[in-house]
Amino acid sequence: MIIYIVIIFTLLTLFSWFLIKPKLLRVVLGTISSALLLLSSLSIVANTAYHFGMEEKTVVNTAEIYTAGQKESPVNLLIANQIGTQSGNYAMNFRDSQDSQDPTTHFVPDQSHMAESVKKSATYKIVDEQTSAKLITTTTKWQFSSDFYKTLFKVEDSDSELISEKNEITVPKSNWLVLSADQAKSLAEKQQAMTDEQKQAQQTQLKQEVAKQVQTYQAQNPGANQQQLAEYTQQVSTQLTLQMMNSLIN
Amino acid sequence: MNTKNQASDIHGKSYSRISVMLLILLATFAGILMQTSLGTAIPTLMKEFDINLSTAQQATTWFLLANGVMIPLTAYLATRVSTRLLHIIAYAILALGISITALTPATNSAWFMFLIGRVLAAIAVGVMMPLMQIVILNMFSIKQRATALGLSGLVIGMGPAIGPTLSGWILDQNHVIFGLTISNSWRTIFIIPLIVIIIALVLSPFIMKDVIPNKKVKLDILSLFYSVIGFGLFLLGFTNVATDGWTDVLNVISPIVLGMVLLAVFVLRQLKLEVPFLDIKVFKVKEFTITTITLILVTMAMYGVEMMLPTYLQNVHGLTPLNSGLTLLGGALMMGIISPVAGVLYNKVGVKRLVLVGLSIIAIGTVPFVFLSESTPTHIITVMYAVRMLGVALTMMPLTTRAMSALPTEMSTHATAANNTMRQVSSSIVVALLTSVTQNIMNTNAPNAALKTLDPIKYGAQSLTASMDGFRVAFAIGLSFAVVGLIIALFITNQKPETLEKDK
Repeated sequence: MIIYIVIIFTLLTLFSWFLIKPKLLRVVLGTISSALLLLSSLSIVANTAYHFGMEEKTVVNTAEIYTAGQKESPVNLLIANQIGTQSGNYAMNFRDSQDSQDPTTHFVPDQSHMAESVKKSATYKIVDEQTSAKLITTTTKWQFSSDFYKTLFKVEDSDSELISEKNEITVPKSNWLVLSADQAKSLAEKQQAMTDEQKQAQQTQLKQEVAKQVQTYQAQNPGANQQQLAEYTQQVSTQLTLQMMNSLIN
Repeated sequence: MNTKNQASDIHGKSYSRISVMLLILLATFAGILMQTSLGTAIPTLMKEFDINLSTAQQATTWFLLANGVMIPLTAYLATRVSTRLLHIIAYAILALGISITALTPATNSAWFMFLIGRVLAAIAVGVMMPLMQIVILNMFSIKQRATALGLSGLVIGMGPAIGPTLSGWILDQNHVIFGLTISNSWRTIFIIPLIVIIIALVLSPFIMKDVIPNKKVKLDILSLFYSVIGFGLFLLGFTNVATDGWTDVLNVISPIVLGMVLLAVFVLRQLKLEVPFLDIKVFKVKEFTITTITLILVTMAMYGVEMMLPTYLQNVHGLTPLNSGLTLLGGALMMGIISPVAGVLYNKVGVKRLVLVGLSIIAIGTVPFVFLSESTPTHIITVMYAVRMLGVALTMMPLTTRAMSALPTEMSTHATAANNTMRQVSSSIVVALLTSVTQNIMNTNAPNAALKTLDPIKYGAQSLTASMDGFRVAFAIGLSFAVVGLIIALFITNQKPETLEKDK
C-alpha cells in the first residue's frame, strides 16, 4: 500500500504545483500534498529502519532428528563442522526423518545472502538424560502488530522480517556420536580399508565381549526376564560399538 | 533522392545530412554505453580484479574527469581540424580505449590498464558529445535543429537506462542468440560498444563530411596543461582518501592543494587571455552562475545515490547484476519520460517553481536511502529511486536551458562549454569523494581480518554493518546536496535575458 501512497502523493504534488492556476489554491494544495509525500517517505523510514507498526514474535519449534550414518548401526552419527575456528557455530549433517534415504547438510551460511545468514546460528549439545536427538529452533521475527499496519506497509511476499534464528541440537550421550566431517571421513576410510577377515574378527570380538558382559549381568541378576536381557544386550552392544568407533577415530 | 536531405559541405560538395546524423548517433550510442554500463558491473569487477569499491569506482571517476577536461578543447579541435578527420580520430581512439579495457588481464596489478582504456574512451566521448552539438548547429536550420537535438537527447537520455541493465543481462548468464553464445564475462560488456564503434569507424571515411568551417586558431597549451593537471591532481587526492584517510599529507593533502593552486592559476589566466581556453567570464552573470551551481548540485545528488545502489543491491541484498539493473530501471526510464514534460512545463510555469518542486522531490525521495537497512525491501528502493529520479528529470533540462538563456546568444558556445565542463568535472570529484568516504568508513569499521578464520559469520555481520554505515553516509551526503541545491534555487529568477543585460 505504502508504495501506491507514495506514487499518488507524488502525482498530487506535481498536479497541484504545476496544473493549478489560482495561486492561493495552488500554494495550499501544493503544500499539503508535498507534506503528505514527505510524511509517507518518513513513514517508510519509521517502518523499515525503526520497525514502526511491528512487534517482535518468538516461535520455538522442536523436531526429532536421525542419524547421518548407516541406519542399521546401533550408534547414531551427527556430523558437525564448526564454521570458522572459534565461532561455536556449526554446519551439521543429519537425517530429517527416519525414512530419508540420505542425510542432508543443514545450517550452511548462504554466502550470497549474508544479510540473512548472519542472523542464523546453529550449535549442538551432548546430554545425559535424553533418549532421542532433538532440534530446537527458536525463531524471532518482526511481525506487523496489526492488520492495518500490515496492509499499509507490506510490500513484498514476506510479511515478517527475521531478527534471529537459533538452532540447537541435543543428542543423548548413550547412543550418539558427534564427529567432524574429517573424522567421519577418516572413520569411513578406516572401515573401508579393513579386510573382510578383519571385519569378521572385529564382529566376533564384539559379539564375544557382549556375550561375556551379558553373562556377568545374568549372574548378578538371576531374576532378570527375557525383555530385560534383550535391553541390556542392546545397551552393551551400543556402548561397545561406540567405544570401538571412538578408538578408530583417535 | 530527397532534396531536402541534401546539403553542401564546406568544400561545396553535396551530402546526405541524414546519413551523417545516423552515423553520429550510432557512434554516440557506443560512447554512451561505455559511459553508463559499469554501474551494475562494479561488484563483478571488484571480485575479478580483487579490488575494493573505491578502486573499482575509479573506472567511473577518471572517465568523468577525462570527459570533462576534453569539453573545452573540443571547440578548438572542431574549428582547427576537419570534421571528417576529427570524427575518424575520435572513433579510432574510442575503439582503442574499449579494446584496451576489454583485454585487460583480470589481476589486481593490471587494473591500471583497465583505467587507461577507460580514460582513452572518455577522451574520445568527451570530444564526440560536444562535437555532435556543433555539427547539428552547422548542418540544420533552426527549425530542424529541435528534432535533431531531440533525437540526440533521446540517445543520450536512454543510455543510463540501457547501459546498466544491459550489463546486468550480460553478466547474468551465458546467452545464446541466433546460435551465437554471448559469454557472461565482464569483457562481453565492452564487445557491443566495440562492434558498434568499429562499424562507425569503417563507415565514417565514406559518410562523414566536413561540415564545420575550419579556421586557424591558437590553442593556449598552458591552459590545457593547468586544467588537465590541476583537475587530475585534485581528483587523485580525493581518490586516495579511501586508502590513506583525510590526513595523509603526501597522497591526499598535497595533491588536493597543488591541484587547487594550479586551478587558481588556470582561472587567473583565463581572465587575462584575450581568447580564453575556457571562458569563465560567463560566471560573472549571476543568474548563469546560480543555475549552474544548482545544476551541479542536482547532478551530484543524482550520482550520490546512483553510483552506490547497484553495489548495495548486489552485495547486501544478494541480487544478481541483472536484477540490480532492473531495480533501478524505472528511475532511469523516468529521466527519458519526464525530460520532455519538463520542457513543456518550463514554458508554462517557469523555471523557479519547476526547480523548487523538483529539488524538494529529490530530497524527499532521498530520505529513505539515508536510513537504508540491510533488509529494506527492493520494491521500496525501486519506487523511491524512481521518485528521486523524477525530481532530477524535472530540474536538469530546465536548469540547463535556463543557464543558457541567461546569457546573450553569442556567448552560448562558451556558456555550454563552461556549464558542461563544470558538471562533468564536479561529478567525477563527487563520485570519488563519496566512494572514498564510503570506503574509508568501511575500512575503519571493518572487523579484524583474523576474525574471518575464527568466526566467518560474525566477520560477515560486522562487515555488513560497516558497509551499511558507509552507504548511509554517502546517501546522507547525497541528501545534503539536494537540500543545499534547494536553498540556492531560491535565488533563481524567471527574468528574461534582456532584463539581465540591463542589470549589468
